[in-house]
Amino acid sequence: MGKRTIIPFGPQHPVLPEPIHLDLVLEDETVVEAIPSIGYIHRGLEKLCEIKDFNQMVYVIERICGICSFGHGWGAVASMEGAMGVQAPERAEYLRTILHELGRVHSHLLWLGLLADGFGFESLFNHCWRIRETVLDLFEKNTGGRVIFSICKVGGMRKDISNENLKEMKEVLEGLKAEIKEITDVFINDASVQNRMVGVGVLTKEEAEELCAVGPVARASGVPQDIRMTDNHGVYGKLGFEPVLEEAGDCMARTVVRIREVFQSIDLISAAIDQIPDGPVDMKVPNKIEGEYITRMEQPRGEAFYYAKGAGTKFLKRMRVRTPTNMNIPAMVKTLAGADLADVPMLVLTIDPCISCTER
Amino acid sequence: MSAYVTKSPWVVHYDGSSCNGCDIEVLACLTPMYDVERFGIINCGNPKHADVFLVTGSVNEQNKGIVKQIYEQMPEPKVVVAVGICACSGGIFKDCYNVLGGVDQVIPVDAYVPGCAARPEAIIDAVVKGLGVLQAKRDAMLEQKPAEEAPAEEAVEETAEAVEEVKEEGGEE
Amino acid sequence: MSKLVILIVIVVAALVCLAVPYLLGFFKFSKTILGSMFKKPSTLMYPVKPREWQERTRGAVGINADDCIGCGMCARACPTNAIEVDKNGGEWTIQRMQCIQCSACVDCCPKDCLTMENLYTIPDVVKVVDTVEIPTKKAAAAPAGGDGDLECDKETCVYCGLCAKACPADALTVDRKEKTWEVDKEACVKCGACIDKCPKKSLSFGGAAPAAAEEPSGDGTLKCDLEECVYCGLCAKNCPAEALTVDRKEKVWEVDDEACVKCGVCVDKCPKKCLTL
Repeated sequence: MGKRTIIPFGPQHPVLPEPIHLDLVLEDETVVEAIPSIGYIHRGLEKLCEIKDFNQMVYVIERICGICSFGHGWGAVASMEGAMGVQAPERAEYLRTILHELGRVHSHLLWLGLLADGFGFESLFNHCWRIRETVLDLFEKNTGGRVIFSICKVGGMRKDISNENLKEMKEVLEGLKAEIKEITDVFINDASVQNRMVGVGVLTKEEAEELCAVGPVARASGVPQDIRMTDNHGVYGKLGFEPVLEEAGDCMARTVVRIREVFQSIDLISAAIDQIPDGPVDMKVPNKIEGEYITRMEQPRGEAFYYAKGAGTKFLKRMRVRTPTNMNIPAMVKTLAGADLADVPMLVLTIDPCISCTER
Repeated sequence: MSAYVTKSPWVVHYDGSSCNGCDIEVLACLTPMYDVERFGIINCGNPKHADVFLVTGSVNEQNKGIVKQIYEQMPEPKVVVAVGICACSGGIFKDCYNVLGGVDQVIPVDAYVPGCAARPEAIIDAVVKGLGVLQAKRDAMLEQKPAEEAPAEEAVEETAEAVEEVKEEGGEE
Repeated sequence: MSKLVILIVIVVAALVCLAVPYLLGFFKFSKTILGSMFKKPSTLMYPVKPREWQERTRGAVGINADDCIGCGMCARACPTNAIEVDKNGGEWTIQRMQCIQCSACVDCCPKDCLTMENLYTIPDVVKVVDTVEIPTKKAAAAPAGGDGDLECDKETCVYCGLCAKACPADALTVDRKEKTWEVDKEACVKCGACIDKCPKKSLSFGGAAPAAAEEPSGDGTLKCDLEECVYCGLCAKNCPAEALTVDRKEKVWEVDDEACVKCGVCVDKCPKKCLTL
């Protein structure tokens, strides 16, 4: 009893497609301490703003992460528009909101699949990803890409999405609700899933606040923190947005928050499609960028932060992005301490880690 | 060595420094819409079980050792498929200070998959193309083997190198 | 006999094991699994059946080499430096394994000769580089002929700024109030977009005479004979400077004298010949 062992976890590990390295200090089967070490995907793309002009920089920022790529593109574009002092046309803002929420549906379904894979429920994983392909088809039809869209630009959108396509998108998503419900009921009600998740990795409200958790992790612990509610980005103010909250703070609560957000996102998309005005989606913007600006954006994983400072030319002097997983790693390390070794994949997965966001 | 290695290639996947886009497309290949398990392709976590090495993303200073190590652990014959533009040439991140470039900077690459992100169809095409290379390598090995025991010696050396590297890394930690 | 009993016990036990949890609703997934057995497979059967592309699917960049003028805008816009344009050698080169299909080049091409094809580049064992021959003498493509620097006939120029707006390379600076017209010869890609747009036909590439400008009938402000006017709106539609407002219902015809560049396009287009300059 009491003999300490250190187990290395990652960077190449079957549970996560992405490389993260954890040194798990074990006492028998219980994790005493987890020491994360990151940096396997560090590229240093913020520095690229010195050699790529602001239009090209949007493509770079979009490729911070392939899962929430639209959100990153929008965040970068919004901070640059702010620095220039221009406001994109209203229809463009609506389209951005719609695509951002569609990205959330895609991201959460993907994550639900990975979670099912994490606790060994292979067929549930496959069903989640089967449904997700329908969302990807919508993306491909409207933007041309499956995971990287390149449709957002400074001053608006590069392509308009016709009202017929939007109507079709709404119909497809409303039809998808029943299929998603069938799958998510399994997550919520199945006894074997409950055994793995209820009461595992509890993060209390105080801890979540103290460790600055963001996004679904914070909301699952009862912290009403959602940038869509506080900052007025996009058209969320006109759609009657209310954040999803759960109190328990365990793995199950984090899953339930994301499941409810999938349905909420579909409702938001439907509401936005009903309201969307006609008009231009693009505007002429100045050819140089001056001043500085900060934008916050609610990504599928939580609050992201974008800072752009112009150099007075078409290049930026500084671009800074802070991503949600970065903020959630302390909460993850906290929940890992005292957990069983077999629960480690679950605890790592339920913060929905996006390592390529974190390290950029 | 089984004669049917090209009928059921096992793949191991490593994310170099990609944006996740290609990783989720590699995973999407395993899910019902594309379902590469139809062809006997299985994603395994252990490099020693694998025939095909799928690398996504470019190579950087920190992970070049890991990419090399996984490659050396794989048994001969083996095929490396670089998935996505970043793995092929570094792509949009080529000019980043921490990025060395494509995977071919560190290990020999047998097939390149273009696309940002690479489409699942392209990944399937590339693995099929890689299998041709795998078959050719296997034939070459079979021809060589009776004449001289070079491959076996190489394998021993490689294993020794890999063990040493693991030891070194352990020591660093 | 005992074998039969054992068999019956096994069968009953198996049925109980299968049925009881299902009846209790223990495994919520059973319904989905059973349902899936009777549905059509969702697999796309990719290599057997080719994939259907969407209209907007971004696969690979294609080029219509005949229209290319070798301006190099695409190479400059490309965030990954995948495109190289050799104007003198007449070659347009793309490194397929470096192109990220962002279609930045397609958007900025002043001649619209680049397109985004649906089919992706086929994976290969080498890094594919495609080279396309483009016409070296852009005389055929440039509308005003000549291959010298862009020149402006200051006598006919009205400093409307339409050329600067059309310029894909932002090489032109026009100030209407100060009456200045400047070209940044380094930035100019000689695509001829400005020449096409110029309402006064005063732009040309050096070495060729500017196309004959249509003589305007007067020099005063634009006037409309409202008795003749049918408020068809053709003048407003064709105005390069968007200086005209025509409302058919309200019977309104207005000209913004500030914006009007007095090019005379509306005068030519008017079906009732009621406009005069």
